[in-house]
Amino acid sequence: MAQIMLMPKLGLTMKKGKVLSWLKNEGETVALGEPLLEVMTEKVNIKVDSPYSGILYKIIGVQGSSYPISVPLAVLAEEGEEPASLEAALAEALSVLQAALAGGSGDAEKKKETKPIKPFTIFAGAGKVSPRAAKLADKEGVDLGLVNGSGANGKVVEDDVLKYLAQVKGETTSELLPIDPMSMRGVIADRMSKSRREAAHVTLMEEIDLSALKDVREQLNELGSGKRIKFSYTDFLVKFTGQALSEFPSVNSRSSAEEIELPKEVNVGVAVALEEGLVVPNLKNVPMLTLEQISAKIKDLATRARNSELIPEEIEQGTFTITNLGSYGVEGFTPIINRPETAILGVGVIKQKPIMVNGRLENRHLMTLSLSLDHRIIDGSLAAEFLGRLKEMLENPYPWFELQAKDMEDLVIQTGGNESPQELLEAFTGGLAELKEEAPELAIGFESLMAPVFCEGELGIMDKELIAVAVAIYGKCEYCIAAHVYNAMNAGASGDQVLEAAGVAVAFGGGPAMAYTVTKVRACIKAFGG
Amino acid sequence: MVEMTYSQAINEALEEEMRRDEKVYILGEDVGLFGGCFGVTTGLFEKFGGERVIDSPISETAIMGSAVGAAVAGLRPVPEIMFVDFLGVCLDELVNQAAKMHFMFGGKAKVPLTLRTACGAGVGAAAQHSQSLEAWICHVPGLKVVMPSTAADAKGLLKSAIRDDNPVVFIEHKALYGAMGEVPEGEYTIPLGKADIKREGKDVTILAYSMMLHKALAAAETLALQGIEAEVIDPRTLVPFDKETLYKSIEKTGRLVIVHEAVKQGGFGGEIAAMVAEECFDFLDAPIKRVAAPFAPIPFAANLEAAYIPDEAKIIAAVKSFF
Repeated sequence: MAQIMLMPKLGLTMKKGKVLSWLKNEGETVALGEPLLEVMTEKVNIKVDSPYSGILYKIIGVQGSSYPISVPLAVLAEEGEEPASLEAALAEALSVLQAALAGGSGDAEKKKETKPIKPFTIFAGAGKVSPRAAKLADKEGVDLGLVNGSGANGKVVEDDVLKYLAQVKGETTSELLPIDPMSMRGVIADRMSKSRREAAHVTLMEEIDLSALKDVREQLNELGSGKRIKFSYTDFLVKFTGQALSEFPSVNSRSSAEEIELPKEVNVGVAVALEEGLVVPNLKNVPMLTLEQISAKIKDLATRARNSELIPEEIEQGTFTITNLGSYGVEGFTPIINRPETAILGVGVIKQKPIMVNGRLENRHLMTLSLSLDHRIIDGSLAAEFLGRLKEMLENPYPWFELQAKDMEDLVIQTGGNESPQELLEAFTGGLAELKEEAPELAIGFESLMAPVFCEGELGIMDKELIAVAVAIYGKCEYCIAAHVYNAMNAGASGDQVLEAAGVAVAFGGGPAMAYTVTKVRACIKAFGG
Repeated sequence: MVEMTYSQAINEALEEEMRRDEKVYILGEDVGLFGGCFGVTTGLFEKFGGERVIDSPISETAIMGSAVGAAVAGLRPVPEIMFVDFLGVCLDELVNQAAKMHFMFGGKAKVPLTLRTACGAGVGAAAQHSQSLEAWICHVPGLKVVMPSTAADAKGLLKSAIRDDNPVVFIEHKALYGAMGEVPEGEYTIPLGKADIKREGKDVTILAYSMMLHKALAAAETLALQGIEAEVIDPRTLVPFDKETLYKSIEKTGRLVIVHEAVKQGGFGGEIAAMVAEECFDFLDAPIKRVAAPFAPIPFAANLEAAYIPDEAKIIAAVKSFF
């Protein structure tokens, strides 16, 4: 039989050893006790004698590498041994070696831990106080009865006394940061309050079904994969918003107290969040840009915004702004208009929701758009028309990209409750058969409970099955109803007998039992009768 | 700084002290030709010969007895007892002779010997070769006790121990012998009785020595990710004990966890806890916690041994019980 040679433990404290050299080549004969390899430990180099005699079949401990003790280094063969058993031994040795090495390098990838939750103190402590807290309370004349403890088991610790003192002395613990009017924060503060003060803000919100756009995005990303292009939803939003704006010039406007400016260009700004504030670089003349250009431009502007490399003209001359809080999970919000523009579009999170489509429940990807408008310039109905146009394009994007619409059948949600009697029966018996593989004890246990109950006894099988029908109706289990109506009728029960049994259930279960009788039981009688 | 193992650092300290003072000599089981059972004295026999690197008979009593006599007569012996577990064999020579002579002879006799020995579990050496018995020795007035955790400390402290005119028990950890560490270049010593703050922090003080220092440091790194900054103090010598450094740290943090590999019952951690409770109770914002081995012999089975030795998780749990 093949033997696996392991890294020996050559000293009490040895944890691993380095293979310095092999003293035999693969295929050479080795006698028991003959030096086979040289190993370096922390202290010394040691010649390791072969623990077996045979032929050195395969070396797997690489010269120059270190291995933990008891890890396979080589496979030794017996004279005339079958290749199959050698290969099996080799495979085993390699798998042990790999497992050992994989385990050893585990500490390389330390996971970043999330901050643990420190539970709230629910009840006041039982009067326990740490010596340090007691001393401080004594010195400061604090009545410890008024201090709530945050230590283990509600014990009052130093920090609690300090917090209490700060509170009673009215000390503020907040940090004061002055706002420099020239800083980004100062500029944002000024512009936001001015916009809010001057413009008559109204926000319209509309839910958009992005399921078709999701498909378009996937199709285009597939087409663009060769060029390593990956379009984001923002790219599409910018493109379609640009298109809608070109159709609604008043939404694409700038205004002052005296006049409304209707620019010829459609320059769509995209808000970029930075640590110190917000900037809105814009894409010039969006209707003229390809989707690929938009995608590249947005990436470029965002990167340069983060590196403070934007040039003034990239921030000026915007005609409309898109701001996206969807990545934070926000659904809808009321964005403030980026003056002198007259409208801004807030983009929310994309969520899967079940909605009714053509009378069927479907699993759709929905997103809320929040359009804030300056009601001095834009009327609500116009804004609603603009938003409606945008929605129309986003929900029917195929013609804009000359793509074929996807079959949406797979989005239909199977709600159950509509299975036919046969389907119910098959669902249960099929499921039980599968369960026998997955959890044999459960399935076999269930069957061994059922078999003696539903056998011929003082009561006949048919009587028992009719009782089961009534109990199943009372238990509101449509699978049980199907199974036991089937069994009862197989045992010779007529449709009328089943209905009589159902009547007993109705006597106890009232309306719900009646509902099952009218629907499922009758359907089962029809399906299984004759 | 030079990278070397804990074992090499000890070897260097021995060599340097033997070159500095010809009264210094080594004796013990297999310390000569073989280089010591952990390889610590490798090469010294070749350098200094059999008169100063003496292979003794397998008799701890003979090793200690002769060392005490030689020390009183003016030499500076550095005897090695292979495992601290074997100390019982020569406890009379150590406790009743070496520790007492200076006191009983009215200060006229000096016993400048440094007993080197190895403690600690983690190498599958089972119940009789893995213990941490420092508490026994710390209980005897007249003996100094050193337990270094790093290569640099081991070298500097061993040199001070050899130069000390009192008997010093120098306990090395066998699982640290291969541990690499940065060691200052050239001649240096570290005074006995001076703790070292191995990591600064403000939220909790962890006192740990020998192997446990490394586990405490690892625990402190994990705790830092969770927003708890632990200060890790290595006393380095247990007798004399640097109270000042520990008390200052507790005044800052208000919380103390003591970690040692020895069993908790009757362990030196109990002594430290009692000192702190007596002398700086008012600094404490939480009860003192000890993390130590259970009161049981050390198992041979690897999984049981691993469960027995205090680890990072146990230290973290003790610290987190405060917050």
